[in-house]
Amino acid sequence: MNPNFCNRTRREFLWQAGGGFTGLALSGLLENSFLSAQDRTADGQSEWTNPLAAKIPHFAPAAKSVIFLFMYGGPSHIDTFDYKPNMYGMDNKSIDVKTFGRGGHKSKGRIVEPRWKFKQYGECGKWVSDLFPNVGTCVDDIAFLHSMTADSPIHGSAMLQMNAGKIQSGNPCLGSWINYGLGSENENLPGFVVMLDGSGGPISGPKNWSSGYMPATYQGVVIRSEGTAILDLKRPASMTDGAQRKILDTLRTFNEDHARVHPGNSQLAARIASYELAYKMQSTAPEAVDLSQETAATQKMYGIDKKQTSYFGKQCLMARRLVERGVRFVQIYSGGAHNDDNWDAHGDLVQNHTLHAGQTDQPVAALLKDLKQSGMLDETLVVWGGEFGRQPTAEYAEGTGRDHNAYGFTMWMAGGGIKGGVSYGKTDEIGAKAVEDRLHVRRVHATILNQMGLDPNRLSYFYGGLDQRLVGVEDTRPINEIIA
Amino acid sequence: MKQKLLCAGLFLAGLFGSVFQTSQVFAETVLSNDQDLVALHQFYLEEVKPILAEHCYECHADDPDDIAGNLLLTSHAALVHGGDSGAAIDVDDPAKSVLLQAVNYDVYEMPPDGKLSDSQIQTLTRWVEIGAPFPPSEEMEFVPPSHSSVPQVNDETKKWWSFQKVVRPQPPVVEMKEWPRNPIDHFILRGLESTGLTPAPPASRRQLIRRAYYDLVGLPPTPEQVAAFVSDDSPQAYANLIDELLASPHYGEKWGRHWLDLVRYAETNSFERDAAKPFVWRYRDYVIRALNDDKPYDQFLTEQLAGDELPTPTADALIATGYYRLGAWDDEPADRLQAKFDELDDIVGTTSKTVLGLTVDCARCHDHKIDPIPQSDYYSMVSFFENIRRYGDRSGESVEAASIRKIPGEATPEEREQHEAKVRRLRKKIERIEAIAKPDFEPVEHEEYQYEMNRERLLRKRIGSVLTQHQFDIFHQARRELQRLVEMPPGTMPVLSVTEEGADPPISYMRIRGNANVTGDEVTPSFLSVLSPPEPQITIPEDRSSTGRRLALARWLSSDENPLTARVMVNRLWQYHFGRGIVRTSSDFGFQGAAPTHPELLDWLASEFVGHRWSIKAMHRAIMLSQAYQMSSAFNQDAYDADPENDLFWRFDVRRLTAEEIRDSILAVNGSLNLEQMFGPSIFPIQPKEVLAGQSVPGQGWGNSSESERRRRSIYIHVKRSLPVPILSTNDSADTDNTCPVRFITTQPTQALGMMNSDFTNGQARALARSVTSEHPELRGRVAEVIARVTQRTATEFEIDRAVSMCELLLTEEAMTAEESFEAFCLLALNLNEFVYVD
Repeated sequence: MNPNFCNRTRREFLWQAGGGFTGLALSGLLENSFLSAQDRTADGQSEWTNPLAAKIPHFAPAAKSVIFLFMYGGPSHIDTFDYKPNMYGMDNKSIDVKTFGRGGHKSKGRIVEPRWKFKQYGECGKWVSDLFPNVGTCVDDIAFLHSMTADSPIHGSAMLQMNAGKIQSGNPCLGSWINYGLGSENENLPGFVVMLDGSGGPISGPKNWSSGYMPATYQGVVIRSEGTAILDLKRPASMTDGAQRKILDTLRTFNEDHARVHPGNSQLAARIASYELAYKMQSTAPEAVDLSQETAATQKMYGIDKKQTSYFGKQCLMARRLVERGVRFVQIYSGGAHNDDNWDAHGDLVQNHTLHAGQTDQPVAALLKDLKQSGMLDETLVVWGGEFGRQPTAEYAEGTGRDHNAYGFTMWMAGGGIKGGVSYGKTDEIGAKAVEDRLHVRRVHATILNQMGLDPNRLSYFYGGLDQRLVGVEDTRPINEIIA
Repeated sequence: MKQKLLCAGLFLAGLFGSVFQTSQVFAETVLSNDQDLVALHQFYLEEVKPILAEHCYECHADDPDDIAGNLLLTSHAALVHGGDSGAAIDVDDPAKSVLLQAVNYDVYEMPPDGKLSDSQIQTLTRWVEIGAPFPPSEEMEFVPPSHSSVPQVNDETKKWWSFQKVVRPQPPVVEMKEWPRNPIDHFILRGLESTGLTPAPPASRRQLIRRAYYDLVGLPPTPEQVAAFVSDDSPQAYANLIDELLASPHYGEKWGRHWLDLVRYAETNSFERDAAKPFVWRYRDYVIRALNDDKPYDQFLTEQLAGDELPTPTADALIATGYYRLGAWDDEPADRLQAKFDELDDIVGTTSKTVLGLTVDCARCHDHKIDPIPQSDYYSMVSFFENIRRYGDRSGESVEAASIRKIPGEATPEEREQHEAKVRRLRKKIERIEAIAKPDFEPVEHEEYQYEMNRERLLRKRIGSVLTQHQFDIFHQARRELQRLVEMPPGTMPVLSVTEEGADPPISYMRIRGNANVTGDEVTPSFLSVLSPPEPQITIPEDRSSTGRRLALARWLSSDENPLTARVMVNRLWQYHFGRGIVRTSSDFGFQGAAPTHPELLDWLASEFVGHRWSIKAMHRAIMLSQAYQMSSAFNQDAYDADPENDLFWRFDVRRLTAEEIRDSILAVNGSLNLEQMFGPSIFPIQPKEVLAGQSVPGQGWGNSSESERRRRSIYIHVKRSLPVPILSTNDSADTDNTCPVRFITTQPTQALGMMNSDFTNGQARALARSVTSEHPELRGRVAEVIARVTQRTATEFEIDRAVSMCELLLTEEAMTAEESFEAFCLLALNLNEFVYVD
């Protein structure tokens, strides 16, 4: 028999595999903190250990937090960052090219040449399209990944893969994995925060921040820039802070009486503590997203003063404030709902991308610059990309709409120990598919985990008889070529 | 062999103008000269090796402990031996070598980070065509990777405890003769006595009735029910209580949920559209009824796995096969064949873990790494299911064709004709209005129009342009009416069920490394070899609508002789009563599962179960009438020090209510729980708008239920995969996409936020306040009543004082009204640990 139960002690294994374990038991899944955490709380008296309390990473991390800017719908790489000079002048030309998108497999297509001009930026001379004049000024801090591939060119499964590693439903998301591996640095805030586009959520909604087969402790929490920041965070209107405090204090005395006659049960103590934590969260979370504390200059830099950029600008500024306060993983969606409410440019490419790039270009650049000027960029990994890219050819007989493309697309990373001013991988000369240094979504996940101090091939969670890993069963290398 | 190598040599001669030695083997068979050797060396060293070293060795040579696909590329022998995908080179037909297919990106794509250049591929092709020779000095010694780390099916592994036939053990002799009430107690007490521990004293009557109510019906007793039980002196009082609860229709609503966890019950498909599964609720109702009727477990299993293949399938049996339709389903998969095998894997995994307590699905890509389950056993198990039609192809219509059966009922031909005419009229009406809108569609919208659920939205946005409000209203109403008619045709009952492609099964193959597109050896239906099973007895049903394979599987799984089925199920029953199984890993009885803490008790229970014709209720009775079950949760320092995890059951473990029990209890204690309405289509409680905002179309797929329906039990809440209900999901309801044998019990601040601040709990707290106010004119009386309802015990004067003084403070210092301050206390009561934990 296998003596070490997939690198865990038998006792740890039993807890995870179904011994009626509790959230507390999950507090120290990694390394040796498990047993000691048990012993400390098992008496029912001592302080509750938050399952999201900070844990020790596998090795010294380059980054402390991740901000994932999710361009939902799939931005066209050849119109944004993957410069294809030879395509200009080829518009409407019919060519043989293998594509696979929503419209199925095709072997011929009508070229839609890139609709924007490209300019060189920065010391590295990176070519960036006119959609991103502001992000263009940050290229010396960015590593572009031009050879991305994914397993599915269909939103539903591709979204699941970009967020949770697999094209099937039911797996924990990247943010869940990071919180499972590291915990949160600030227990008064959720460790995995999601912000949605003003037009709505992405397809599959909460599946995109689900913890799958992991406990609910690790699921993403949606934070809003308007109204109540977090679901149920606000006291009922009729209840003052003082009233709530009195109720909680009285509740505590009842619960302590109950715990006194139930020694040897740490869950009871934990539940008592969780009310205090919830109470604190009511003030810490709104403070964390209170942008009035930022100067007018900062707000202006993020574009909050302009209608077009105000919404995404607020999200980006909130993200900076959250990572400042120790939140591990923040995901911001650009685009929501369906069709042209996101980057899914099946109809009018120019109208669609002008809208979404216009809403995000300045805020994204502001985020990078703001993080950089405060020194935080070094420990904050910023990731940009959608669930796939778009085809070089037209989807329909008429118009400029492009169908989905999972054979090749671009993502980029900045900060958090990533080299700036570099480009890695290549698509063919029309951007139809990745041909050089191809990268699977797994490699991006591996890189993110690695920068956070987690070994992607070691970070595992035992479920269903298997050591499940975000990157799957085969060992997956981080993209070392872009790591500083 | 000689002949082939000679041919290779001659071919080389063509390439290099001479014949030369290629390898050790070759050296013995073909004449050679030094010049040839030099040419080979050069070709290998200068052209082949650099390619291998740069693009292949990282995964196929460098790390001996981590060889991708178990394929080494370091010697001729290694190439011939191959890896998981078979031989890398085909010595008979080199052009068909897997190695060449892989570098040409044909099925496999190697190297994965980018295709080799054409000239590199040419070089490797030339090399493989001449037999892939290595200069002897370059060749590494090849030791075939040993499989010793993977358990084989052999006499040794067949001896594993859970694979043995259940033999009924004698209850052991114990010293404390007065303690045991039934044989279960002998096993428990023996364990305690052998460690020198004493069992906890009996639970109080109040604790016992609360425990029994929650365990059997998932609801708290009323204060009156508690009082009646506490004052009943009859020695039969407790046994009567158990019988009464087992006879309650609400028993099935509680225990049905346990089964739904195991079969990952959900009512939508997940993925982009997450559309609702038609009539799936009939399966949920079937489970509730089956448990209420104490349907024997062997029959319960057989109906779900093969109800349609029974000689005379009943409506129930057909509904039960909805089991196969509960999983996630991608209506637009990137690779259809792979998706089909993913779905089959979901069925194999769910079935094997739930019924057998074995992770057979771990053998999908390779032999099981821990248990003696070879990959061929996995694909043999798949073959029982392989002829099943996929849930649907893409559209709602395709789902109806593949997964909906119409069971004939009683209706006159006239009624039917009338119904069909109505349906036709409505369809026409809808189509007429759609026809007005369609010419206005963008190309994208024509695509979207294919999906039923988008149509309403596509038309709605055209109100005021090509459609009038009036036209849209007609369209909208006609659709609702049509849906109702289609769902409830006269005299027929549409049910969600399994269907097969016919009586002739496809040939089944292994799929190399789990890749559906790469077939390996042929397999036929057979049971897990490590259990030394009989041959499946497969009979094609008379109507030839299916293969009869599933019935053969069901018969074996539910056979009295199956060593696992009864053990696994009684262990689950024990777990749901005691908070943990005798085997803690209740879905893993394999080599990495936890050892049973009381193996003999487990076998005794299993033999009782089969002996009582697989009656689940008989097992509840046996377990709950034991002294062990009736122990208190009292703490004992010595016992705790000796056995902190309560392996020996020295006391009864306190448990937290499940998510459903929490919600149902909140409604129960204020008297608003709607228990009268059972069964039928699911209900939609109000979702906070913040939750709906997370959807791509807020509110899509979430309906409205009447106020009285919203007060129904949680098991009737619509289970939408992409839209969990916060009060259930934050309190650890089961994940919808994976079988859930043990629920998590997390403690998180988000639970506290929901319990303190949500509209739901605040509304229910107000209802609780209202419900006691009229009966009790005084605040003290009201407080006492609330505590009694919530904790099922009498409040102490001290507690009442404490509550009253809180209310007074809220009045004087926080400007609350008397009414509000009492509501605040009711909210507090719903947040008590004593409310959500059961002794």
